[in-house]
Formats: sequence, C-alpha cells, structure tokens
Amino acid sequence: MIFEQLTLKDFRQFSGEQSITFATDPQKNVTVIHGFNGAGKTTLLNAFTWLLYGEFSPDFDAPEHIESEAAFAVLKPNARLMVWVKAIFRDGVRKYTAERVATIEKDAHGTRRVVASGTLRLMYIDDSGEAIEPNNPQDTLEQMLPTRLYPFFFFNGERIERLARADAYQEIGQGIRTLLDIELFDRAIQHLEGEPARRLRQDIAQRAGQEGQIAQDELNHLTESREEVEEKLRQAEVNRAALEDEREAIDAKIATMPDLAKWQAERKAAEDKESALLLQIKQRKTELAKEFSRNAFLLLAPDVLKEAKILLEAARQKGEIPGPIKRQFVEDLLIRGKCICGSNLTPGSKEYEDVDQWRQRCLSDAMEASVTVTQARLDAFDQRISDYSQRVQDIQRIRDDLQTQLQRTREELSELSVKIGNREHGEDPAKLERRRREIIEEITTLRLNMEMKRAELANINEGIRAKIRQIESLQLADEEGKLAQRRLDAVSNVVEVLRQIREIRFAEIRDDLSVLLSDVWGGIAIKDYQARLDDGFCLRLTKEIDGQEEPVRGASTGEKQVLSLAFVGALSAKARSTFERSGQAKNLFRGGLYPLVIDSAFGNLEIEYRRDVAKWIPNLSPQVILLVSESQFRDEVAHELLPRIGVEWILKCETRKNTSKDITVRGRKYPYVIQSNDKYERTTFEEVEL
Amino acid sequence: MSQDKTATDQQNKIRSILENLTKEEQQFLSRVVSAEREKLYMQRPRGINEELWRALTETIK
Repeated sequence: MIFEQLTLKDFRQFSGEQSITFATDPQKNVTVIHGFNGAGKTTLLNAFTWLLYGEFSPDFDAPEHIESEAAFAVLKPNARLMVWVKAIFRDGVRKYTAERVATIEKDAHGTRRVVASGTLRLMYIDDSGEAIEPNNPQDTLEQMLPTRLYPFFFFNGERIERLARADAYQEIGQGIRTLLDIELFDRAIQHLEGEPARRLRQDIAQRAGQEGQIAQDELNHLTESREEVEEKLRQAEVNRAALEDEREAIDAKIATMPDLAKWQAERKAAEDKESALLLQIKQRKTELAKEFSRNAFLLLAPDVLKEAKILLEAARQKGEIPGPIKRQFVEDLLIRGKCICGSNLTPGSKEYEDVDQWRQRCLSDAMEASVTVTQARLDAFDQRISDYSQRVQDIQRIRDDLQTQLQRTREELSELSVKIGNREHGEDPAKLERRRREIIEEITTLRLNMEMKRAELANINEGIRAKIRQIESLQLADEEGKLAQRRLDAVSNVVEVLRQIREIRFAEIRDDLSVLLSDVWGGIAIKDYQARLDDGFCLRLTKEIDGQEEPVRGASTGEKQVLSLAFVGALSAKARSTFERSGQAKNLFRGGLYPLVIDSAFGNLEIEYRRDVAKWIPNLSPQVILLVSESQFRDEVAHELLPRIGVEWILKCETRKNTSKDITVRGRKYPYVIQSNDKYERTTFEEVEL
Repeated sequence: MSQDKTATDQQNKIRSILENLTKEEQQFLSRVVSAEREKLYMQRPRGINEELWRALTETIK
C-alpha cells in the first residue's frame, strides 16, 4: 500500500477540496508535512484511518464532528454537506482509488444531522485495464491491511512506546503472525484439525461399530477438556501480564517520591541481582542434572570394583593370572603330538591327558588381554569416581553459596519493602506498597496454577493423540469408509507439511526480525542495552550483568519509543522483503509494502535519538509520511532526512486571532500561521519548493 | 547477502517438504492456503470449514 495522493473535502479544518501528494520514489521516499499545533497534523493522520477503516485515534477530539466548521456555517437550511476523503494508492501491481463519504444535513432550524456517517467506495484497474469496483470494499481493504494491524503503520510517535510494555506481547504477536504469514499457517492447521478431521473421524468411527463409537465419545470428551484448560491458561496469561504492568506502574510512582526514590533504586538493583542469582542457580541445577545423567552410575560402582579387585588379586596369587603358559602354545603341542620333554602325545594316552589339563587351565589370549585391560581400568575408574564426586561437590558448593546470596537478597528486598511501606511516609506509599506485595503473591500463585494447568494440558494432549491413533487404525471394509480414511490421511499429511513449513518460516522470521531490530536499535541507542524480541513476542531491553543477560527494568519513555519504532521498522522491512520474494515461495508467503504514517515522530526524544531515528526511518519502510511541528523538525532531523525527502508540505493555518508566523524550510520563508479573512479557522496545503 | 542465502535455503527446504505430498495433496494444500489467505483479515473467518471441506472432497476422490 503506497499512497500517491490524498484529497480532503470539508474534512475538519481542511475547508473546500484540497489535495496533497506523497513521495513514491524509493530513493526519496519521505514526505514531510509541517504544521503548527492545531493546524491539522493529527487530523491528517485520522483522515487516513477514517478513509480506510472508518476509525479515529483516541487522541482525535470530537470524532462525531468531522465536517468543516466553515462549510457547515455557510450551508443553507435543508441543505446537505458532503464530507469526504479520497486516496489514490498502489498495492502490488494494482492502482486503487478509495473514497469515504459522510453526509451532514442542516435542517430548517439550523440543527445538524448526520445522514450517512461514512460510506466507502473502492475501485481499481485490473490487468486488462478495466475499472473494477468490488462489492465488498471494506473486505478488500482489510485483505491488504487488517483493521487490527493499522496502528503499527498509522500512529502517533509520542504514544508508540506502548509496544514495549509487558502486556503488548499479544499485539506484537498478532502483527508478526498476520503480516508475515504465520497466522495463515496456524489457522490452516487449526481449521483442518477441527471440523474436517472431526467429521472424517466421526464417519470412520460410525462405520466401525461399538469400538469406534466409544473411542469417538472419549475423544470428544478429551477435546472439550482441552478447550477448557487452554482458555484458563489464556486468561491466566492475560492476568499475569496485567499484574506485571501494575507492579511496574507502582514502581514508577514510588520512584518519583522524593523520600522513597533512593530505596526504590536500591530495590531495583536488588531485584536485578535476584533475577541474576535465580538464573545462575538454574544453570547450576542444569549442570548437576547433566553430571547425574552422565556419571551417576559411578556411585554404584565402588562395591563392584572392590569385588573385582579381590577376585583378580586372588587369581594372581594363585598364579592363574597372568597365565604361566599360553593356551596357543599348549594347543600347538597337542596338534604336533609331541611334548617339549620329548614324550609322544597320543590322544587317549596319560601324557596327552596331562597336557590337555594344562590347556583347560590356561586363559585364552582374548581373556588374558581383557584381564590386563580390566586391571588397568580399575584404577582409572577410581580416579573417575573421585573426579566426579569432586565436581558434584564443587557445583553443590557454588549452588549453596548462590542460594545463601539469594536468601540475603530476598531479606534485603523484604526490609526495603518494609521501609517503603512504612506509614511515616504517608498513606499513599503504604497503600502502594501493600498492593505491590499483593501483586507479587498473586503472580506467584498464578505461575504455580499455570504450571499445573500446563501439565494437565500435556496429559490431555497425549490422551487425544492416542485416541486419534486408535480411530485412524480402525479396520473398515466398505468403500465409503476407505475413502474417509484416505481423506483423513490427506488432511494429516497436509497438516504435517503445514506444520513443518510454519516452523521453518517462524525460525526465519524470529532470526531476521531479531537481527533487524538489533541493527536498528544498535544504530540509534545511546546506552549499551540490547534489543530483543523473545519467543513470546515480548519486546525487551537487556543488559549484561556479571556475564549474564538481564532485563532492563524501568527503561525511559524515550527508550521505549525508540525500541517500539525500531520494531515497527523491522516488521515493515521484513514484510517488504517477503513481498519482494513472494513469487519464489509458491504463494505460501506474501508479505506486503506498508507505509509509515507518523504524527509527532520525534516528539519527546533527545537530540541524539531524533537524529538517529531520522537517519534510520527512510530505510525501514518503502514510504514514510512524517507529520511534524517546527520544534520536532529541527536541524539535526532536517539534516539527516534531507537527502531522502521527495515531497514536503506546509499546513498553512488560518486563525481568527490577529497573528502571523512564518516558517523557514530549505532556506525559504513560508506563511505558517496567518489571520483568517473571515471568522473561521481553516488550513490549506502549501507545497514546499524542493 | 546472508539473508539471500537463508531465503534460498528456506525455499529448498520447503520444496523438498512439499515433494513428500502426492499431487492430489499438493493441490489440496494449495487450495487450503488460498482459502485461508482470503479470510485472513477476519477475526472469525466465516464459511472456512465449508470451503476446506469442498477443497478436500474435490481433490481427494
């Protein structure tokens, strides 16, 4: 979706019919729109979202009044005012025109009435050059960019930090899954394993008599149980995220209280230490488990080894080992039929019997070699047992030491909690701290419950798999039944292939997004934090503490904004690269071209962040439309963006007040705020000469 | 460059996975993907079960 032109007709402060064009050249893909406060920057952002989805952002004031104040004022009684927004854009090879129209009526008494709140029309030119108007324009638009995902691409930069919050994992996960095709595979697997597979299994079970029916009933029961447990787990995860968020909000509040800020900082440090210690204890436990699985049998060995040593020693003392003569030597004498003393060894003779008894007593060469090796290894075994015991003791000692440190850290945290919650600091901190303790308790209980539910789910899933195997292996005689089995096999095979492709795609996306995110963040961030997208789709900042990667707690709003922007950019870039390769993937992955339309992109950021965001943004998305105030577009931003700006506009704001202000862009002065000729406020577009 | 290589590796892996399916099954998979893509924007894709059933019964006979 690459915008070429937007036309507004009597939409809020944009009186009359006015058009604005956008940069579409890949090398100069940035459009900058300058506007004074109240000139209509947020209105323009909302013109996009209203046109495409009939929705407005939460910061768009009085969304029920979208018509121009001036146009309505001059409207005659019983007349109607058409308000519309129209866009020309490209999506893939097609060029579209989208238009949403609202009709406002002024009745005989001058009262305003909404006749139609926004009707959408969409047209495109097809491959043969014919204009097509889809019957379901909203559906067609939604296929390009679903409603729930537009906030990734049309947003206010000052509010984008929400993506870095703990509870944003669902929103982020949804974005990644839908835009990068994972959702498609998940749905296909879920749908195929749902109704079609159920229907086929029922068919097979019905044709297999009582055995089939019983198995089907049991499967139905297990499936219902699974749905219940999954729903409970989903709810618990939502609750846990909300509690984490509440705790973070409480910490932020306490950190701003002058008397408590120092203790809160100490608590944050102690909590970081607690996390690091827990991680290290976990690692030691893993090491111990590995040692046990590899070498625990050695603990049983000493008695066996002792006995083996006694037996070998006894044999040695008896002269049985090493053998006084070799068996091969004795066998050769018997074959030759002559002893070394010169006696003939005739089978059955006494001499033969005597020598043959020696043969029985001799160890074979292989046996003798084994005895020699065993003797040598017995000592090595002793050393191995001793080394193993030493290693286990060392790990246990480190673990015990870590646990002591953890205990101390937890005591410290408990003391800090008492200090912070002391009523002498006032009722508010005491209440906040009390709530914080409750939250920690609730989170602990929730996590325990979730673990239990996960174990229950694993059991149920195992039961379901067993039942499915049972039904699928039922023997059927009739043709209908065999066809059902063949279809069920096809469904299973396709599901398996979808699952494998999904895994490949997911791993690729996770790796690529992590690299992109890390690159963008690394290019912008001042601190040495790392940006991470974990497997649960949480955006995280981490830092290294004592060689361990630990989460950053209490990142600033600016840092969260940059992290969120970096993520949106990475998502857009990955969607674009997928789109560019879509022809090679047998239509399995589609991706897309998505613009970034950002109001107040550099709002609260420090100079260094503004400069680096400005440097990165044009590379992330095929089209970038920035709505900025004069203070947001200062030298450092202008300098970085200049080579990438294709089109630049000024929102010339007419106000009733006797005032005027100019803006200098590219060395030229343009009227920015002027006095209105009548009593109405309005805004007009003025293109900057490049 | 490394992303190009990853993408090529990915395509090769996917191609070999698809080759494990019969022609009929490949056709069925293709119809499943198309049907799901058309309804991907819907939170609750109406009529998807019927479409998948039709795709199954028309391809696996």
